[in-house]
Amino acid sequence: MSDANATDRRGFILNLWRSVFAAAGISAVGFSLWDRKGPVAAKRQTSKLQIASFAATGQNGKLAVARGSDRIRNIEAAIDALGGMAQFVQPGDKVLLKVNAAFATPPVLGATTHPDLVARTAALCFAAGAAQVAVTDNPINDPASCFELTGIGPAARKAGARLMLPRPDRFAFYSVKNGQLIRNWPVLGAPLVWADKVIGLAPVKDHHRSGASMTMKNWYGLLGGRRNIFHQQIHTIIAELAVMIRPTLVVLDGTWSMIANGPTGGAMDDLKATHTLIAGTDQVAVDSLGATLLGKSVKALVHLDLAERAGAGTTDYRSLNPVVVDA
Amino acid sequence: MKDAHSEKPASSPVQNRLSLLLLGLLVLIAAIVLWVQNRYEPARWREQADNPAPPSKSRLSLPDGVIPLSPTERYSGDNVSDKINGKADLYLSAGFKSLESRRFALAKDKSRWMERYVYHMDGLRSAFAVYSAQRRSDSRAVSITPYAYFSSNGLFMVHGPYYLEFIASEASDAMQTHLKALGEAFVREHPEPTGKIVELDLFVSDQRRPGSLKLIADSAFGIQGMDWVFTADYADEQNQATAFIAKRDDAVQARAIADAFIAFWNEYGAESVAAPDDLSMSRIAFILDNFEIAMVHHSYVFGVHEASSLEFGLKVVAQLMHAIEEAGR
Amino acid sequence: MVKIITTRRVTQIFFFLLFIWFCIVATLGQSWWQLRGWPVNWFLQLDPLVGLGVILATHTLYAGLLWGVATLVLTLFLGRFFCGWVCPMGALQQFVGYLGMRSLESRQRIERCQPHPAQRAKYWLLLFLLAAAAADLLAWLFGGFSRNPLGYLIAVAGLFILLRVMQSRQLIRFTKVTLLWIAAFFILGGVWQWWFAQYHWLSAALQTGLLDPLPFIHRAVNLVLLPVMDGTVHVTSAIPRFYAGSGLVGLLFLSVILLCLRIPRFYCRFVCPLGALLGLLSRWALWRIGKAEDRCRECRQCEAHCEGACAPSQRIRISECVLCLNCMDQCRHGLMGYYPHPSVVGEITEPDLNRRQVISAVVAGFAAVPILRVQGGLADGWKPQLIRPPGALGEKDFLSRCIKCGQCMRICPTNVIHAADWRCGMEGLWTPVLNFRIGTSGCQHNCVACSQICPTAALRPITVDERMGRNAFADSGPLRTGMAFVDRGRCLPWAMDTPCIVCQENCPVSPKAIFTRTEFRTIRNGSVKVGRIEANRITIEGPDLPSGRLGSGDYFVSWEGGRAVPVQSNTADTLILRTDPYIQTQPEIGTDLLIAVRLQQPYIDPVRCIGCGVCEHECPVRGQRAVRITAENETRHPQRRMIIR
Repeated sequence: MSDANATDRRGFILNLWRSVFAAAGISAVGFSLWDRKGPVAAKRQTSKLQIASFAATGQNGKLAVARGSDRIRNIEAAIDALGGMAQFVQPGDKVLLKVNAAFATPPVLGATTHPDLVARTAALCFAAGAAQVAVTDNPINDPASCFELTGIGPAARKAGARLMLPRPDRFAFYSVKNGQLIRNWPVLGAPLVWADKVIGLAPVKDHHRSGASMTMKNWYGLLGGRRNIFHQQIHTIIAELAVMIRPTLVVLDGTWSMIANGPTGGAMDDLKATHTLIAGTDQVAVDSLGATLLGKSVKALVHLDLAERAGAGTTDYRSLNPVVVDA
Repeated sequence: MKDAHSEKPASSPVQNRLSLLLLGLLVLIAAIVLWVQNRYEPARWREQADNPAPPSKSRLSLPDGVIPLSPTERYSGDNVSDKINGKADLYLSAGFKSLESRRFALAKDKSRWMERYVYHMDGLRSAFAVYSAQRRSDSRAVSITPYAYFSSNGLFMVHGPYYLEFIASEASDAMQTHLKALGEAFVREHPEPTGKIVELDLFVSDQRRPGSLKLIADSAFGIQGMDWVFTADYADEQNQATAFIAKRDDAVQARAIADAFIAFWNEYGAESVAAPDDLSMSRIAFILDNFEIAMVHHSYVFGVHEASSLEFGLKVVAQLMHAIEEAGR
Repeated sequence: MVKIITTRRVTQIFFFLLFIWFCIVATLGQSWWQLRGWPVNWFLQLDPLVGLGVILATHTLYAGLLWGVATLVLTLFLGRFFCGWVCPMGALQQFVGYLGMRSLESRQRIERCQPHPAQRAKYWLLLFLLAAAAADLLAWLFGGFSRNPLGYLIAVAGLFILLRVMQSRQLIRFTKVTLLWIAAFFILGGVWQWWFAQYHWLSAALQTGLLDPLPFIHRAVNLVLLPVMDGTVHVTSAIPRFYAGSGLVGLLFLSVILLCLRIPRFYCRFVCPLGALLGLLSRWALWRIGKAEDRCRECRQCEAHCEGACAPSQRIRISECVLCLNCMDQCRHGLMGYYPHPSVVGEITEPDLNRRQVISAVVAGFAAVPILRVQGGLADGWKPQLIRPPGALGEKDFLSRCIKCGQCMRICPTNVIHAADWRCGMEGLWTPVLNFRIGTSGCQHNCVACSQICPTAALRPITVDERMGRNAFADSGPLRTGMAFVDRGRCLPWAMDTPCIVCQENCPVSPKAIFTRTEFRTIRNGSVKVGRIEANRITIEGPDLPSGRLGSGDYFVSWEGGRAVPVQSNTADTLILRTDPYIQTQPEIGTDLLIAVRLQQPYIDPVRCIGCGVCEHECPVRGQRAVRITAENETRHPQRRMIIR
């Protein structure tokens, strides 16, 4: 009897320890995860993204205009007039081409950056020693089909550039300094962080809401989220975009310009052979000059004025002494 | 709980002791729950009327047979619309300070109850303004204070800076008695100087509609700037007109009001009418088949609004002029 | 001498009455029978399944849910005391089961209290529900590989070695292959999570509340029992309260209770996931029911009232025993007792489950939520009619916390919070949704009672200041639950030529979020000719006028060269204009008259509107209201913002 008693007692004590340890474990987990106050208001997404200035040193306020009907010759002539791509791209640089691939429309409609321009610019970058060239945009229609149908995707691949599609994980929250609209807004940041140099490639387009869509409006394709609410204040957002991105170079392709029914167009009739390509480091000046292709005055495009006052550049493009060349 | 090897089953004394222990535990739980329920912060759940009224004022010596039914609710300008919703603007524009409301019931029958609203306004004129702006049509004068009347189920009165409403759950003589008792109790509790509003005496009582004296705190007749204007309705068999008087700091300000008044009607297409000789200083506008007349005497601006005939309107204006001159002496 | 069985009954009655009392006093107010400081969530907080679910889904344990730890700790020492002594759902079932067995013979009673293989179903349900809640946790664990690949691999290796050691010490009964599977599971999961980082392929939802007995009985009492009772006695509410979506709750509850007439503690035995959780723990309980000596006469009387159907006369199924102690009371030989050692005839400590069932239930749980999420209810397919109470978290976080207990619906002073049905997404069944057609007003914007009562902070605790955007919250502005839209096809002044500004008048926001623009519109058949004139009385030629309807002050007559004159009254063929003996311009016989109505048409100011629904509640178009709230612009989802502010 006493043996059994002893075994029992030992068993009980063992069990007691087990229960005590388990209870302590449960209590420890409970207390360590204890949250006395509950969740607070949905956290404001903080801006972690930093966007550097991509401006090449010593190239401020450069502006060149190439006149000709051949887009490829135009870009070559314009870059030449600026002193060659080597002024902007150093050997080993990673170059990001921000194209306008907003719509899944064929290149002939001029609603998107022309693939020839993309291919040629990429080739110039490589020739200047760029290690890698990437092409990106966050289009309005489905990204994959936009890049394919606009011809930009195939052209980029052929030139050896890679596509950076707007995948969800490539966006980060960003606030423009002193901005009113781009406050903790998702921005296609990964390509910007990756790149050493950024070149904007935009067609000249009429725009129903903003009057014109040129190189400044082209940065709109870096915004994510429900960006269409910004159409409520279209000029302000364009000016903030111009502050957000300090590009190495912008190229405004007015070889053909969409002068009506923008920004989508849809018919050849909407295009006009303006036979002009503008390249420069001052996006406000480039767009101010581009406005003349649409027959619009600088004053009519409020965002140019706003961008100038925000310090993104000058609307007085003549003061930059643009180099005009015939291609 | 029990030695494992006892010959007998868990014996009754053990069960008894354990039971008593557990029942004691239940009593303890009940006690803790009862103690916990005392800790209550109602404001955490739903906004409360501000601080409860200071005890000295809330300790009202109630008339016989009336008992409090609910605690006092207090409202400030920020939340008075929670209590009176759309009417809040009326009070806010007239100088609202606070509202206290409380329900009382008959001790014999709690289904017969009354609610007392005490609107604390900026002063006598403020209180009179809200009092006069919402005068009930079925009113019957009562002499608790100079400005007080009964409706079929309510008592409305001004006492110093207070405008009071007492609303009963039913219309009956018995309830009116209790309303009156409540009103008198309030007056006793609040020995305010029973000030008089001098402008009201300027409205001659002849042909004046009873109960039509009003003080409009903000934009009388919809006209910007016509603030703190007294009005009264006059009528004979065929004619009617609304007389108005406002006192300003000086004649220049009074003149500005008269100008604004006439300009307002002109803007809406009024035709100007020549003033008669005996009231040559008056200005007359004719619009929508009514006459609008304004005049200035010293720092008073006065006149009539919507006079259905020029003759009657001028008669009322002359009366006002006379009363103002009398008062000035 | 007090028998322990009596004490158990007294305890059950005590807790049941306390539970009912808490349900009654969950009424906003300060009377002794109203809210005061009663700990009305105490039973939900004691329920460890609520706390465990919230931990799995959110990695935190909100405030009072810490009580669940106490229940678990006590269970480790005493067994399933909660089921047999505290749980009001258990007490109710036990009482109904007693009624059902009253007239039976002992043999029949024993038969009804035998273990049934289907009792394992509750463990499946438990595992399924916990797995569904734990997916985020799993994703977080897998994410360790992306954060620190080396550390992750070391941890997996460590786990493998630990399990291997435990296996060799025979502490666990895994085969070597199983161990390899576990290691492979974590490595593959980690790699998968790293490779497909941008896709949230694992997502969690807390659905324990569907079956958890305490949310269940709270829901039934709050949404069905009290409103039904109170419809006649009017204790907690002067006006009958209604709850959309409560029908299914009531019928399920009724079915469960009625089933207990046939099978005692039906729910506890077959369904209850809380019982399953406590059953899994009770195998380690220090004290347990069993026989002290093996001299049993096999009379089986101990099983005649066995609430848990745990067969105490044989090898007792410890995980099923709810500590009703009826076996102790029934045994005429004093053999049954509550001992700190196992029954001398042995016991079955584990539930009747095999590995395949466990894995199936867990995998199904992990898979169920992503399957539901494919419907897009948390993405672009969000339901605009799903308007949550003001403190609600974003939908994903909300679904990780809400246990569908209905406390918010009970406390709401205006009866505007209702239980959602399937249409708001299957995951959202019985979660709170605002229904402005029912109730005494819209959502009062000075009230935050629902967010204060919420036991799991699915409605996070907000203050009136935060709700109204005052003081410290002046910058962030008021909390918006949605936004009002005017349906111009139904709105009286917009579509029916009928003056109405009820929504504008009732808008509680200051300055008002609803404003009006005035329009004069010729009424139907309002173009007539003057036939005859006597003073201000005009007999018209043309279609009949709506008799007596034009004297409301909103109708005016105008003609070329004349001013608009208000109509005083009318008959089918005469118009009486406002009295005016001085009328100067008069229409002549044969003049065309236009009869116009003055309409104040409502507009919504999207910056001011907070979506409180007072306008929708008051709208005189009583069916589908002409002004309705949808979830656009709600604060809890910043991405649903409609306008730049």
